[in-house]
Amino acid sequence: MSLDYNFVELDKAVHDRAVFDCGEVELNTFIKTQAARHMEVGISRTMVLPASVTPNGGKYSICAFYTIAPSSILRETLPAAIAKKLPHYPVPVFLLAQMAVHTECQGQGLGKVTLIKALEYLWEINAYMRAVAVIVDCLNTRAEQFYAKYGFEVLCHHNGRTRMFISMKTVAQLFS
Amino acid sequence: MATARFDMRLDEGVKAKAEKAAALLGLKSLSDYVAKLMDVDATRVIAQHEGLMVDDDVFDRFIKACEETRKPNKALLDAAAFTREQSIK
Repeated sequence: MSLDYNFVELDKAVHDRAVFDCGEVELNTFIKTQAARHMEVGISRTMVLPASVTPNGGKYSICAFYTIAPSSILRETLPAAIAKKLPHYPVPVFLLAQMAVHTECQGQGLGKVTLIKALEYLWEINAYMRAVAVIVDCLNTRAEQFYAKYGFEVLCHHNGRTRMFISMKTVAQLFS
Repeated sequence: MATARFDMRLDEGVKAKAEKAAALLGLKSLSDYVAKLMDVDATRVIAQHEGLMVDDDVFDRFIKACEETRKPNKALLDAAAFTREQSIK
């Protein structure tokens, strides 16, 4: 598969979701059945890296994708003294909700490229809609090791998964 | 004034049971009951997904970490440089 080198918004009519396979059932199911629906109802936005050519003029394969969503983080209890220090509460964050690379495209560094493109996109959004950090929920230890390698820190454990984050101040230094 | 329409098929038994429940709640119709249930439950489901509730100490550590200016590590800087070289827009 050769690459278009340009992430674009997922379009059911253009991108072939059915053949996507990254080796993780949950991520495959997400792109096949949920990503477009989540965009329609305003839950999240999915950006895909399509292949540059289509086999027999059909839809374009998806080499990689990422899904982002706005969210916020809340403290279980909020004493007045702490509330005063937080002008924006709940504290706004971005979720890097999903990220995957097609098995046929793995081993070319596309995972880190997708991560950088996602962070860059969130950094651009941050100019209009501020957030303090980017949060990811890791599907497995491999994902955890991947994000840890790039400086994500453990926030907590949630539903049996490790939730990690990188601050927007750190992301800012990559692109400014 | 509610104007949007929503038709659905449901099991006869469920319908009879729901009509009884609607009457017990003093609602005029099954539609009123379903509309009320949808409103309450959708609000709950969305609220659950909108915010990440964390323990106090986790939250405090998180805020502190976000306030500090930490430099990107070498792997992340290298990944950014690699991405620029690949010229992916």
